[in-house]
Amino acid sequence: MYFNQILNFKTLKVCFTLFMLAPFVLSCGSDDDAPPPVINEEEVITTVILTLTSNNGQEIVMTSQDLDGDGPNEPEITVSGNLSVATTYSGSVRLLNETVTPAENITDEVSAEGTEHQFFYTMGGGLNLTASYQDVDNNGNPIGILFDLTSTSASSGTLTCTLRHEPLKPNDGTLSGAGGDTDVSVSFPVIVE
Amino acid sequence: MLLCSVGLYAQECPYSLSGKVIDLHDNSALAGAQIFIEETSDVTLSDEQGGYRFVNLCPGNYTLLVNHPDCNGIQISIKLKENLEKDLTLEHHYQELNEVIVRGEQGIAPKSVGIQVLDQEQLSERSHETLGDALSRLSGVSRLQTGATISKPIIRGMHSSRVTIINSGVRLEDQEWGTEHAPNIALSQAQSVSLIKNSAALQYSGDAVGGVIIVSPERIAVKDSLYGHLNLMGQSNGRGGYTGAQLIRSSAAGWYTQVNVSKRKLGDLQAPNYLLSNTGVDGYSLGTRLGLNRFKFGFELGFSRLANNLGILSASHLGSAQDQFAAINSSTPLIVNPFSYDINRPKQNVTHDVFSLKGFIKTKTLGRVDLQYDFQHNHRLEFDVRRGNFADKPALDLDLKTQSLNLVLAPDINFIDEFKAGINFKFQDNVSNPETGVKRLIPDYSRWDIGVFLVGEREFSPNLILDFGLRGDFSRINAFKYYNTSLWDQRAYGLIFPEFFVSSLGTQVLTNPKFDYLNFSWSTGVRWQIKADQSLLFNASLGSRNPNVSELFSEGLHHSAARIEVGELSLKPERSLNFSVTHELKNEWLDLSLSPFYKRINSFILMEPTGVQQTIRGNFQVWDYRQTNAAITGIDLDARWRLTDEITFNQQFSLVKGYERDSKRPLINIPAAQMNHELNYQLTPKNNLTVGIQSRFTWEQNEYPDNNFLVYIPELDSQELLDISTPPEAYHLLDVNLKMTLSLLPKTISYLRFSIDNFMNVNYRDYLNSQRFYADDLGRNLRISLNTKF
Repeated sequence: MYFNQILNFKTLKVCFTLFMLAPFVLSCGSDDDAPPPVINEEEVITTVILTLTSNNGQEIVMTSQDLDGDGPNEPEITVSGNLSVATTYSGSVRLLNETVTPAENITDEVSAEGTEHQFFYTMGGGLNLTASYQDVDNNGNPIGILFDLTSTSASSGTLTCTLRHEPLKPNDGTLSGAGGDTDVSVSFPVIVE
Repeated sequence: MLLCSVGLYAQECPYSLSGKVIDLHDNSALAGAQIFIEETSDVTLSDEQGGYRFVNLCPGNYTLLVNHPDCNGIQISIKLKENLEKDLTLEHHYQELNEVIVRGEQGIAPKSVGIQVLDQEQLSERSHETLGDALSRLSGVSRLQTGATISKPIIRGMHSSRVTIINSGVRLEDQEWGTEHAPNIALSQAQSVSLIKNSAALQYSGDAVGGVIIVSPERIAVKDSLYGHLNLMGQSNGRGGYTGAQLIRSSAAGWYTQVNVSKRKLGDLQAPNYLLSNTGVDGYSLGTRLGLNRFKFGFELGFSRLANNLGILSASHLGSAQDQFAAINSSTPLIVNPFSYDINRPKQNVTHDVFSLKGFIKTKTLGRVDLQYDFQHNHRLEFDVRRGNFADKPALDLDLKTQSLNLVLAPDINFIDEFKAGINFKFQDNVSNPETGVKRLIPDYSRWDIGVFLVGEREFSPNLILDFGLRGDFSRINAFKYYNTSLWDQRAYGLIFPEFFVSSLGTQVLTNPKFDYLNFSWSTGVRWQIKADQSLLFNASLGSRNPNVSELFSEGLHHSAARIEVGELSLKPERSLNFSVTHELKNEWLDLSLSPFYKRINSFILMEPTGVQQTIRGNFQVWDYRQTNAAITGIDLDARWRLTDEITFNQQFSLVKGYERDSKRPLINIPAAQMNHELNYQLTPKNNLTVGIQSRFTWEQNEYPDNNFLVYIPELDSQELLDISTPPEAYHLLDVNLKMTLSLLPKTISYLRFSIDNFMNVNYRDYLNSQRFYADDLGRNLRISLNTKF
């Protein structure tokens, strides 16, 4: 009965007017906000650097750099020199995020999560090189941050470096057998002379 | 009498037809209802006790038209063989949620083109399903899926932003632009789901060029009562189930309150030959409302929450197009783990809260006045497989808040029936959390919308009713977006939209896009009752849809699709002209509906590959937006046969074709033709023990755009064709079920149902399931459910 006395038309008319004003009050503060902060992605890999050193001091550096990530600019690929025949090079790969200064070394994270990552080195176009792993993760499976490349005869083709995230480990050493997500896949034009 | 005197042979006409006219809601007698027999022109009025009587009738088929000043009329076919007692139920003009659903005794009698409904009985069998699954039972509706647990409705080829969903009077705002974003609706709280394709749709939006889906809660009568239901369901595929409960308390003074809870849990789902790893679901919903209905005025306060944790098939998460090549060319998913209830990355975590406050008054001058305020909060987190410090952080964190205020008037106008006019205000704010460390997929934005509408009907004769609607919408969007400088320059946005540029930060630019849109929509329909059992419905409408935030502002890698998607700032609104005709036949043994349709859409926004981009990860296809003139046409067929008292047979067929008008190129993701049959046989009337079998046949979609491309595969040292276009083969599924009605406890009624879906454990993939590239669809599923009403 008490409620009936309150719920007459007059009260409802007042209530309705208040309701009409409510959203304007509630949303007033939301306009004219300052722009939101910029996001600089820390996980993005912009640069892949392969460094090959032979036992007689020859050093070859291969770089792929794509500073706009998924943006329209293509990666810039440079290979500092040609490889020699019948030589073994000890190699290492470095991953960088150069959108930030100083550049962030992603290789450290890959190494820290070694059991969830593996690099693969694939030859194409008749390139006579063989890769072998020179590092292992906590379970004794290869990671591939350190590797050896052995050349045989003169040839040319492509060397593709692929980083897989959460591949099947252990695996048969092939990209198809390992699976996982491709985080890096860069192909360098290589000449062995 | 007339019938007897013109009969071909002399007949005795001694039979009587009598009964009571009753109000559907409270079973009270309706006095003063007029009952008219078409064939004999006999008329009578129901008395104080609701009773009516006709005498001296000949045997035969008759059509009764029943009318009452406070109710909507109904039409009933009866077969008279002897003296017949037949009660007639009418429904008071029960306006709730600015919508009227007319019910005749035989089911739904739509007033204009296709108000198709899933009623309470059908819904209670499906309250464990998602809205997309439940609606796919209606002809013309298919599903766009991301695995079996995420689905959204496709109405005649259109989905996502082209379909508006209204839940308890509140327009659902939950990032519906995403093809992987299922609508946040808990069917456990719904009493009916209607699909509106006529002018009434303009009350809700002008941009629903595909259609409007209305999910309505229970209609609570004004009387003392305490009732509810409890649903339990368990299933073998996923080794999980669902439970939902509802309790309603109402009083004769008009007060009512309702409480709902539900919980759903499934582990990894199973395809016929392997497990679908990481496809589990864990979710719950809560809802409550409190209101007062005094017929002349009333109000309602409501709150609901839906929360879902959804696993995404592990094997569908990819790094690059090379990975997609490996996945598509593998006959089994690349990742299959032992069964688990764990939901790991990748996964979606969505919470959707709705608060609403409604009130109405019946006034003399303005008729019924409805005012509604609602607030929605959608928080969507998507987790990806990440590295280092970011391993546990979501890759997407979107917080969407929407408020709306709606005013609707329903004055009595001389020459227009069912007239309504109204205004909708909406304010929306989206924030993309920078803590994710991933560039925002959708930028921060705020948006204002104002819509004004009027709808109405005009009855030229009982057999000819015209309905119409007009609507205007103004929309303003204000976003802050960071573009990659390389993309901003490539698209020359600095020249086309210099006013949007704010500042440069080296590799990124800060921009402030602002857009205003003004759109008009209209709709008109005619219902022509050709004969007592046949009608023709015609509807024409023009709708406009603004580009959504994904179409405007997307920029980045879409992981599970292994492609880069880029929006386009210069997109203009779509304009869609729709035509549909429905021929309906309703008699004692058959309900038949045949509905061809044609949609002519200008500036149709579609996304397609425009090139391949090299990145550090390898090749990706880039998908851009383009506008074209399109056409979508097709036909829906529904037939329900009541062959005998024990046997019912339902058939459904739908066909949709979509093309670009100029080039005749097929549109992507148009559903393939589908044909369903359902046969139900009542074994014994005792406990209504019924056995049923359902057959679902889906054709192969043979018209699709070729979006294939070449990708470099290092191991093969060659460019290989990645086929992402070819739809899967046709497939045929069989479901069987057994149901019975029991009374386990006094004053309760229970429906027990055993069913086996995909009884033959058929291996299949569906064109509209984005998981089809990586894995087969669901295998056999045994389900048992118990729905108890008390």
